[in-house]
Amino acid sequence: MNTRDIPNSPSEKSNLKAEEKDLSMDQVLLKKLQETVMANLGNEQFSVEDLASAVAFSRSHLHRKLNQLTGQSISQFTREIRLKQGMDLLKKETGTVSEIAFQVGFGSNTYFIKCFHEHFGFSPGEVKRKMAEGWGSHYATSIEEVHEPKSDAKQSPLETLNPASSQQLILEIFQEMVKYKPTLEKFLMVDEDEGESVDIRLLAYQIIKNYPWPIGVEVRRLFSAVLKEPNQERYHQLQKSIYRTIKVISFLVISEIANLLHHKALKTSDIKFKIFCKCLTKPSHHDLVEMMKEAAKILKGKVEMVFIGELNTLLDDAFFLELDDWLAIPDKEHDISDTCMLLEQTLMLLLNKTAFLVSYKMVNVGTIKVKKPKHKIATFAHEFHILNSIDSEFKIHEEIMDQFSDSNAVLLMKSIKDSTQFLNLSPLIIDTHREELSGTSKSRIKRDIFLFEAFQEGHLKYAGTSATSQDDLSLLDGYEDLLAEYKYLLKLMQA
Amino acid sequence: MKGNLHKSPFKFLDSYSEEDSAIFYGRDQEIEELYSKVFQSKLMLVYGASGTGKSSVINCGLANKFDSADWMPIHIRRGGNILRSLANQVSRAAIMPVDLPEESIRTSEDFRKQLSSLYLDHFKPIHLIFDQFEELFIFGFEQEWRAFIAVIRDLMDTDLDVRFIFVIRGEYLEFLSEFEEFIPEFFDNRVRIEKMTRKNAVESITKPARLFNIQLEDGFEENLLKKISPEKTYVELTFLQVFLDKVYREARLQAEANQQVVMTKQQIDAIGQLGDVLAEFVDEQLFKMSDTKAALTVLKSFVSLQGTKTQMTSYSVQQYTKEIGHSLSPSVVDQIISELVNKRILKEQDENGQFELRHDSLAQKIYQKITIQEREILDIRQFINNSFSEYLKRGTLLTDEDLVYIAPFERHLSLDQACVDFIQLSKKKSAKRKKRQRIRIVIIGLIVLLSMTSLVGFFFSQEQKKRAENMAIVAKQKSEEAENQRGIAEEQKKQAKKSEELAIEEAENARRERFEAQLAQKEAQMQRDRAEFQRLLADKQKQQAEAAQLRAEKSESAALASKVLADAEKEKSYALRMLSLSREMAIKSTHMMDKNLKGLVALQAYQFHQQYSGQDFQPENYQALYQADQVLGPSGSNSTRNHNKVINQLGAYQNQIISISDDQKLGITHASNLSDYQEFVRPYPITAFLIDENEHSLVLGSSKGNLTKLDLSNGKIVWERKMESEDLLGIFSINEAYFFFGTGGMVSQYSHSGELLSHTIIGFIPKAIAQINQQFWISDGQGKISMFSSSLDQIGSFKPDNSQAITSMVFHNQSEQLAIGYQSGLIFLIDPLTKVIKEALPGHSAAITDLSFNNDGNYLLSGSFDRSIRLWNIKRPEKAPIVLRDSESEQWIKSVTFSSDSKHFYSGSFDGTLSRYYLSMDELSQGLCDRISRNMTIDEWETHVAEDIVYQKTCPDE
Repeated sequence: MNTRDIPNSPSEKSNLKAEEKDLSMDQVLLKKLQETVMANLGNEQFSVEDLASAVAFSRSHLHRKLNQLTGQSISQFTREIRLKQGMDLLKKETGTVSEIAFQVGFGSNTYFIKCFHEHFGFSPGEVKRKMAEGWGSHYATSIEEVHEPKSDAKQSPLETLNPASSQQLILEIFQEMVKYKPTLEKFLMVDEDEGESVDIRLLAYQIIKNYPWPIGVEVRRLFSAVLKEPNQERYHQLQKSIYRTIKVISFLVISEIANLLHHKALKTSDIKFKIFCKCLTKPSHHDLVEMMKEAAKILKGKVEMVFIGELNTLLDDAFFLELDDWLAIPDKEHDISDTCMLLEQTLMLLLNKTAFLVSYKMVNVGTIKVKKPKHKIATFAHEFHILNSIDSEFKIHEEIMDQFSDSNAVLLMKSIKDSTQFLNLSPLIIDTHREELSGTSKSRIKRDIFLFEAFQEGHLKYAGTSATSQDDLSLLDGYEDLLAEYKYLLKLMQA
Repeated sequence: MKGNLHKSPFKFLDSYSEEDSAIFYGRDQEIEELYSKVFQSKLMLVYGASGTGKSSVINCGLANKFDSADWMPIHIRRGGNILRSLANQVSRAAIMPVDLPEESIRTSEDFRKQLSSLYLDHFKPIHLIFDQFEELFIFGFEQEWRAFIAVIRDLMDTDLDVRFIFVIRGEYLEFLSEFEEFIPEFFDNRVRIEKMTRKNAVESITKPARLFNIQLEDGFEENLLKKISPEKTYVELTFLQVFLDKVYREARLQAEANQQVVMTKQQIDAIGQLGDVLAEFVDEQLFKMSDTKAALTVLKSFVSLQGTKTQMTSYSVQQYTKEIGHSLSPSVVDQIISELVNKRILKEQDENGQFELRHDSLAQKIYQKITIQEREILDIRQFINNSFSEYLKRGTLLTDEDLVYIAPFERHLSLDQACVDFIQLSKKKSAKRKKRQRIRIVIIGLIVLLSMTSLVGFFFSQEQKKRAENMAIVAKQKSEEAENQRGIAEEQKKQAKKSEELAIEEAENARRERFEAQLAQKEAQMQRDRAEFQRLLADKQKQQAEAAQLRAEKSESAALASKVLADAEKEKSYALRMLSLSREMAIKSTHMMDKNLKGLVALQAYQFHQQYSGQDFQPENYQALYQADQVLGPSGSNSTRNHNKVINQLGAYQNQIISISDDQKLGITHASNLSDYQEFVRPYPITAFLIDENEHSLVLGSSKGNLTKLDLSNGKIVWERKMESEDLLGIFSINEAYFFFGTGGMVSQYSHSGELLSHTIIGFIPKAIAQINQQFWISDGQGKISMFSSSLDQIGSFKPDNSQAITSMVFHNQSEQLAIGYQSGLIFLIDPLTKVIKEALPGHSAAITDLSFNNDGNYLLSGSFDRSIRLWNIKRPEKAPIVLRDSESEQWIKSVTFSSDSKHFYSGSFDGTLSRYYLSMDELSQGLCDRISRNMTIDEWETHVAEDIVYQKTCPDE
């Protein structure tokens, strides 16, 4: 853990005031940041964006600046202030560990304990015990001494697995996921007194498993031990992960807009359709971002009409500010390790803001079987392939329901128990696992999930998640249906 | 590419690894197929012949298709135990260690945890690659693979991101059918790696050459390929690489410093015949070693008795040298192994401390150097160990014949004390037995003599005395003769000793000769004793003149009889040796690569077999001839494919074979000329038939219950009927009625003229039916057999084996025996009267699909889903059956039959192929010589037959 001297105690604070006039602009900035964090200590919702806007910086700009001044990311910077404040409160014996965790802005007691242990090398419980035993100020000093050696201490095995940035990313994203899927919190629970600590590898595993496969698989690659150094390979994987995530979000957005258009719920005269059509031919990164900006305007105030209610909060200014920064990142001239750090921030924001997806299920429904016993109402047997998974052999789940969903398509569902609540993502996201591929003509098509790539010369082009090249899926059984769906989608967008 | 000048772009005997992508060419199609199939299922099976480059295609080709973040290969060889190797290899790749419990109590859950942690260490899909998977079946035990498959089954059911790739030699595929029971999808996702085509082979020569800036003379590739595979379209990758490496090294020597290396046709010619390149390589390397003989002994330990390569630790090599009587010290073994590694014959030591040959093709060359004596020693060790464990279980000692069998080798065996004690005990018991027998004979002899003596008168005493004297002279002569024999024996002994001092290979022979000499000496000694006995008797005759003549005559005839007996015994034991040699040669021939030599050895083995009156049914010889026949190309067409779907049933009528198929065709093929074929097409898949010999007609049953009677003399339809819409399972005839059994349990009875007589429902789903005189025996899905009268009343039931479903039944009238085949592949022979199991015939590894007896009921033919047919000698059920398998088509067998004259037998497969086989080895061996272009050389004779047997030509000169 890399740390720099950050002034924090109240006495230091007063010194700062006295010397303010001599401080450089950078120091003023640091001071302001620190004050803002301290002022929002108890505010669990206080985000990186909030901090950036407090000093009138974009998130990326602030990230670069902070990295240049302290070598830390924004979240590392804020966490360190919170932890030091936590330590002060422990020493003053102002409350229980849980109370103090809450006071310094940690939503979870276990997470506070984990971060505290990582930062100081011992647990908050230990501080409390020693203070109770009367170590008092002596221990307080020894604790301060312990702090610095931690950076020279033996690296935990976790740090050998992944670069610190992936750890950071994993912890943050996981925290965010817990908000949408509280059952995940159990992975953060450890018995501190037994010397247990959170296995960050398991958190990473849960991220891969809970995000829809096209995002999960890219994140998995990023976590792989071979990509841990900030080099060209990691750079490419970061770019790919960001691009794939943006693409999935874009396809959710297009599907929502198309739904509204189909139900004639939008005023077509207010919509700039050109950018949507562009995204349905051969979209560039830029096109996708532009399209989402346009969609954000359309969806504003229509929260009750869309399937994914979280889209409104997702497509906010901070989101677009970050994406604009991302689009502006030059690829070659930059120092590769700096660029990687910037991209990690972007990815972290994207995953953070899309963490709500873990409360949805991405599924593939094949044919739906009707069962109609005599004198009874019909039921519908659905066979779901659940596309949130750790491996590409997706689990099959059977559900008999009173109503039916769409068949032969990839759906985003709120729950697989409710067949009426879904967003059909066909033909933008498709799944070939149900296809019989052993015939010679189709043997080159892989069993995979494919994302729409382009429409060229009358053909739909897709890219799978297991390969980088484009695939021609025109030999698929349902290709004609896909083409018809695509043409209808384009027609909606040409209104 | 200056830096590459001193590194060969060709791989010699190694397979290609991930780093070799720049020089790996010509396998694009296979790689694409693998890459596509690896995503289709968690399990992929990759198979192909030895030397086709399976490992290279995976380790280099497939590996390079993946990004580094998506490919985590774990290579697993069996080592000492496959699950232990799996655990070790996974631990090796892990970053965070996982504590595993003791090996004996490890469960699937432990492996799951270990793999799960490995995944969390790397976050990459794990590919478990089980290379040379056949080792599990060659060296492993049933318990081992059963435990292994249970773990794999459990791992497949978890949500771990783990894929399994099994790489196995094609000929061992059948063993995997056992796995299907636990993992039904085992064969579903498979890729067959073929040998390289000529076109791709050219690419694999020219592209690396270009990359390494090597100039190839015009026509170099064509000449090289012509040499490697003169008539074949496919190229053996190993041979190509070995050859290229050799030419390249030669070319580099010829090139001046810093000059471009040029590979020329002349260099190819200079290298000699390819078949010998490997043998030459081995010989060359051995010759360069300080102790060639010791090195050869060590090398032999790396070859299994089946002729494949095997992994050995330094300790197990040392044990082996002890066993075959060339004991070497650990330090010598270590030194030789390290030399062999340096000479590229052995691979580097693996993590389990094991070494192995670089390639199976080397194993074949070394296998040919294992002498028959060494094999015998290994066999005899095996025999003693088996007998000893039998003794521990049941207390049975070695018989006299057993002791004679092991005597020549006893002192080379270095057995442990328990086995030595066991042999000594057997000898003691045998000696006691013999002594008792001798005493008995002497007492009986004396009684007879005394009673005879009383009959002889005194008057002939003088003459008798003279005769007695003559007899004494005769006896003395015999004694001298015996002395002479002893002298000869002594001479032989001397000779043996002399030759022992000669070359080391010959020492082995000398020992043998000496033993034979000792045997002769013993025999001579025995005869001398006998003669001595006679002389004593003769002396007595002098005093007891009246009795002498009779006794002398008796003695003479007894002596003569014993000699005749001894000679006969000697001949018999020689014949036994020759028959055993014949079997050895037959087995050995099946491993040979050179097809001419393979044919010659198989044929010579068979000639010995005939010469020494071997039994008609000798599976080893049959299989050797059969393989030779297959390899040497067809003598005439022995298979035909007139059907394009499964052949449901086969039968013989006069000199024709009747076949019916799902392709709606009824085929009639001439039994000896398969191209003589006619067919009748029906509008339905035909599923059963009955030949009505009395009416020269054929009754057909099709799917959906369509019935047809066909006049065989003119091919016209006599009548057509339709029963309930059930597919036909079987048709039988009793008295004047045809019985049509449907697959759903419906039986319809029609008169011969086609009138419906009755419909009956038997009350369960029939699986197999046999007609036993006037009864029908029908099995259900649980292995129960119910008996029905001809009026279809159930009259009883029984269950011969309660575990499995019966899949086929057949009854033989004259011999009154019923054969039943089970889903598990087991066959029972049952006496229908007592319902007692007379014989169990295990061997098939998957369900029996059809059974057939020959005319006299001495042979039983079985076909199975394990892709083989087996011919059982019912009279000698303890003999192994003949196992036949069409290596090319690898098809499931659906139906089998004998021809009417029982000279041939036939199988029908799922792809519609009808194949014919000879029952007689005589017929099978005929014409082999026409297809072999030469005879054995003296060297070959000495290596593959024996040094002490006089050379003879196997095939007549042209």
